[in-house]
Amino acid sequence: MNSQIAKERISYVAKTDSITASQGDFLATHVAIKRLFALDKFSIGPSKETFYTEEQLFKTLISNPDNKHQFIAVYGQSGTGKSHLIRWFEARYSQNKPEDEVVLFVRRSDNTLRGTIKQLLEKPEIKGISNRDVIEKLIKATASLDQNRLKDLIYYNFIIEIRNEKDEFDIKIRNVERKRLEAFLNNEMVRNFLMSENGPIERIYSKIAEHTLVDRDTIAEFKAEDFEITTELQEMIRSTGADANAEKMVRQLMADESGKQETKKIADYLNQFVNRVIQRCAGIEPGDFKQVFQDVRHELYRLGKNLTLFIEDVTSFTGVDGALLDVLMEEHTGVQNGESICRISSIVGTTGNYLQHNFKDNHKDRITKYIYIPSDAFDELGLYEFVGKYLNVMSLPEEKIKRWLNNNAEPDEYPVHEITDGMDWEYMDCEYEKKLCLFPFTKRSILCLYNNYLEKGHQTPRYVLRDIIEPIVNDFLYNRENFPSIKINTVTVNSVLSYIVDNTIKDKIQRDRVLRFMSIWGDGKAEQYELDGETYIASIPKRIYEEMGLQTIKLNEVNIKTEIDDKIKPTASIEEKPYYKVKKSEEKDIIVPKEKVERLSKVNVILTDWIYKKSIDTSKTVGISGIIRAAKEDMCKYLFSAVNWQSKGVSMDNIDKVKKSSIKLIAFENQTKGNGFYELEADWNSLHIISAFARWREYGQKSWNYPESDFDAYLITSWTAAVEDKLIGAINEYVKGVKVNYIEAAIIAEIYRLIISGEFREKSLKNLTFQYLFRSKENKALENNHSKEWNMLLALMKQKSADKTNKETVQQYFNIKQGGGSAVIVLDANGISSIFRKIKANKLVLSEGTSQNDDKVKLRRDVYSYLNDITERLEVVARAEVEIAREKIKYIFNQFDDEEINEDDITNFTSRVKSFYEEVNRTQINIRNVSVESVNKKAATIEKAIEDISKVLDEKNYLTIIMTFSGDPVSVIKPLIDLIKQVNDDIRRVENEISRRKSQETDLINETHFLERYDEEEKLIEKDIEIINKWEVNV
Amino acid sequence: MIINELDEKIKNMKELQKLDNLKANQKQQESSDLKYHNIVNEVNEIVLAFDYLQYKSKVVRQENLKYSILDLLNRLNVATESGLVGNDCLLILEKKLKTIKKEYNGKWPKIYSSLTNAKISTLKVIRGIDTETVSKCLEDIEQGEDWNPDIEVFQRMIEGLESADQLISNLGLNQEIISFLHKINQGKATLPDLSDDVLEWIKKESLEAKIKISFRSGK
Repeated sequence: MNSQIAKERISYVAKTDSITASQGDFLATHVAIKRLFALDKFSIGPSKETFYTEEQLFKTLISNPDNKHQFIAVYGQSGTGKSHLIRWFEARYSQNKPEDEVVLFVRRSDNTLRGTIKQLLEKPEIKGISNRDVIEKLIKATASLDQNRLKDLIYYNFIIEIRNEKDEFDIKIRNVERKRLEAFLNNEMVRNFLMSENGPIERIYSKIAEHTLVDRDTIAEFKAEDFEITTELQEMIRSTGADANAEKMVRQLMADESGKQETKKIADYLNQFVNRVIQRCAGIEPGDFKQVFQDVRHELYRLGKNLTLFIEDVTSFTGVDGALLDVLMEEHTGVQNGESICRISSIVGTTGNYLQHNFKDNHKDRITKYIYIPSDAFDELGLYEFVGKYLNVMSLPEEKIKRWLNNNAEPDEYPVHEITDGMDWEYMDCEYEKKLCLFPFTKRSILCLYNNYLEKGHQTPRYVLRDIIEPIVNDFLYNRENFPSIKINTVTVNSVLSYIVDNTIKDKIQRDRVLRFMSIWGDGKAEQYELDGETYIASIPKRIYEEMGLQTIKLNEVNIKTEIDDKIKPTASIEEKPYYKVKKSEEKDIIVPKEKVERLSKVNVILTDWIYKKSIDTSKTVGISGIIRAAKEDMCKYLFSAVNWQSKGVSMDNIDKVKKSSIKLIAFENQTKGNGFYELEADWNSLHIISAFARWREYGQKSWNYPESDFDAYLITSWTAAVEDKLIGAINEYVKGVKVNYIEAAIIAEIYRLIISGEFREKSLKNLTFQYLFRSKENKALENNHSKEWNMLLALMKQKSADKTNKETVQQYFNIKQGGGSAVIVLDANGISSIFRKIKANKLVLSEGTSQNDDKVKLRRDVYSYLNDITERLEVVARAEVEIAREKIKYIFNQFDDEEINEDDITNFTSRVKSFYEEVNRTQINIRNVSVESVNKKAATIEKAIEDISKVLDEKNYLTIIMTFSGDPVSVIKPLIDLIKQVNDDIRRVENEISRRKSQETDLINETHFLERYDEEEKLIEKDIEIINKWEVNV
Repeated sequence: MIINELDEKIKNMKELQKLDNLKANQKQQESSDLKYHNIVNEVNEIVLAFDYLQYKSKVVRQENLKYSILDLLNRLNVATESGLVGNDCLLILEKKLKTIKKEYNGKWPKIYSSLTNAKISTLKVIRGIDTETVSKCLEDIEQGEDWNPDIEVFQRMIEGLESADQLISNLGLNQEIISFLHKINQGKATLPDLSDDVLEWIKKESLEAKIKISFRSGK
């Protein structure tokens, strides 16, 4: 490489668009493609075909030796070099074209119809034709329209097409569906959605408008996924008051079963209108376009010339491509409109996808030959040559290239640059014994980057140039002291090598450079050897490290004789991906499948990005991100089981809660979603650990049975010891220095539950022991006489089994599991006693400042929420209880006309009641006898309940109140109240009955002087008693 | 207050029961009422009789009698509390009255003797002195010999006793004279019994001719 020249030339040479490069640079960087397919029939991914070189195809097809009408389609996926090949064909053809041949080369330009038409109109062959009207029309069509207006125009033209569609296309939808679709497209939300960036309208617009920056190989069409409606969009459509038909369309597209087919059907249906809409929006009539070409062909025929047309990309004609194909495929043997037309040989570039979907079958049938460029058109040497030629051209002065071009660009005169950097570097041998220096690449680095750095579908010349050559060379040219500094993922990082580098080189930047260099430029193995008196470290000579300013480190010495072949040859090729092979002591080979190695390599790509401060996604469950996620989960699982939490004072209940938390034990620094207790710093050490866990899962299938697993096990074990204390701190601390204290809240809540549920019925906490917390006897009483508020609190506590969950927390928190797999669980009685005493002393109030109700662990936070749910209702509950009890007790007091009711009062009352009912019975009044036994037997208890209630009627302390009501004293006095009420009712009935019956016997009463009948006797008796009382008696 | 109300209703129901009973058996009730009336009157007679005797004599002041009658009077009171006297109740009252009467049938002779014996014997001694007056006194006194709680009977008895006292007082008899007269009636008087006071009294009352002397038969 010649750095000085390269600095000036790189921006000119490293152009991904072959059309914009100068002819000299284009030819000097051209690498002959040797693996081309020539097909008679179209196939999207042909195989088992004979390979042809570009030269072979040029001679047999492009040069048209038989001078016949032909249409040759050159296709391949994006970036494979279609344009490059067509340009090469054109250049090659133009060099020795027949005299009567007119060559027309339509470049892709800005890849729009406007650009293409402009380009055509500038060709002298077209400028000279007679039909000026048509030309004028086309010139007008190229006038620019405002971007938004044009997009709107496109959008509404589709609606117009749908409305006016008259069964002229193959794909049909029912009338009702058409109405729905029209209403759907007229909805503002749908319009915004379809016109958004990356939406179908943008794609179509890019084919009409000038200077758009859309991918060149974009196809102007609707895709099924454009009509996949998210629930958010559905909600937006609905909430903005969509037309009923539009809503029906939404439902149709979202249907579980048929939705997918519907989206495809609608996309296909709309795609039928694309050309028509483009034409209308661009102001072009397909007939006009056809006319231009027809005129050209007439004119050339008149002049006795033939036409060879090279079209770089047929999608440039989107909108009129059908018309274009019609005119290009028309053979010269017929007479057109009474005039003869010239022979035409068309070489047209297109993507396989466009060819498959946008060429009508009758067009496909008329294609003379298909030239297919596979994605891996270069073999391994071709790839080295490709890189070598670009490196060479950018190191050559422009004049030298021009000179070579002017001398017909003969291969044997191909210029090679003067090397100023990397003289002792690797070379690529080319024809005519030309040696191209690969500096600053090695063959291994080219392959490694090609295999691992380029995304799937991007392993094409365009991306080799854009993503490998240009950035690496620029890195060397402008950042040599830090080369390689570009954060290229070290896909095949050897964990041992990485560990050694990490622990040997302290400077982070230097460490990253060395590891990257060894892993990408070298063989990535933690080995060194001697060869011809030179030390090779990771297969790169030591002097290279020194030349590059990289620190050298000592790796494991290996035997050169057995390893030499591997060391001097690239270990990987395009076809043959790297794989792991290690000899185990049992002399049994354990081979990790290539696919797994590849997957792990991709994991390392992401992890390397991560340590270079790129965010990392650990939320996906599938793909490579899924492996990283799984590794993270494995790390968490491992740490949960590996750390002896109990011995470090962490309750297993706390661990269980943390396990169930959405917050993971481990989080990666800069991860896109979620958080964790312990954040794994984005550094090499973390990369090794994550990688080791990924290997354990992927290579060992959740075992250590894979090569070099012992080293991984060592890494993980030593790492565990290093992070253990930090993990314990993170789990056991609410905030720095403050221990988690949810158990205090849990116990308080449980005590409240015991009180509210009536399982602890004492009026003070004095007799409350922690053994109550472990009782399993529930108060299963279905009915009580508590207030609505009390019962609501009770129900609230049971909601979603919150009471059980909290009880489990209380019962499990102090459990100490015994080691050795013992089933015995010991209770930490000291721990629970101490906290229990504190809670009792604080009268069930959390110690000041200890509420951790924003704890990051939901289950710990839930404990505080549960307690808060209880305590915030206690006052209301206590008041409600008192009010109910006050009403009841007042009733009793009123009935007894006394505020001190004792057992005797109650039994006296029941005795009277008994007599009352006996008399009722005797009087033959139809009232059912009421038993007083339940009241009589419980007279003492009722007296106590009345006394208890009376005491708290004016109490302010709600704890005292709820404890008083814990035993449900209202239920105790209820039988008495019921009896009183019943008796009162029966008294009224007796009154009525007496009154009724007496009224029937009024005559009798009057007749018999009922009330005065014994008056005389009573007086006499009274007198006698008076007399007798005066008597003196003898003793 | 509910207890008071219960009591009231119990009473009301009892009244109603009585009324019902009355309605069902009006004649029987009238008979019961009469019986009750009679008992009350009978007791009243006893009370008045005894009250008279109490007043006139200390002899009948007896505790048992007082409380037995009081008890009966109370029962009589209670018997009408429910509005009507019931048969059961009447039977008890009758039995109680019968008991009192039976008790005093037994006790009366003793009381009567203690009240009358001394007077009667004196009267019999002096019968010879004033036969007519003595006979009248004895007749009145002996009206009360059998138990009959009739105040008129007791009044005659008391009048008889009071007349006897008057008669004896008028004769100026002292105990020595009465003893001499008693012995004469028994035929046991001897000359030694003729003390100076006795001779003086005989002479004063001119009774010498009415007294005859004779020998004692036997030893």
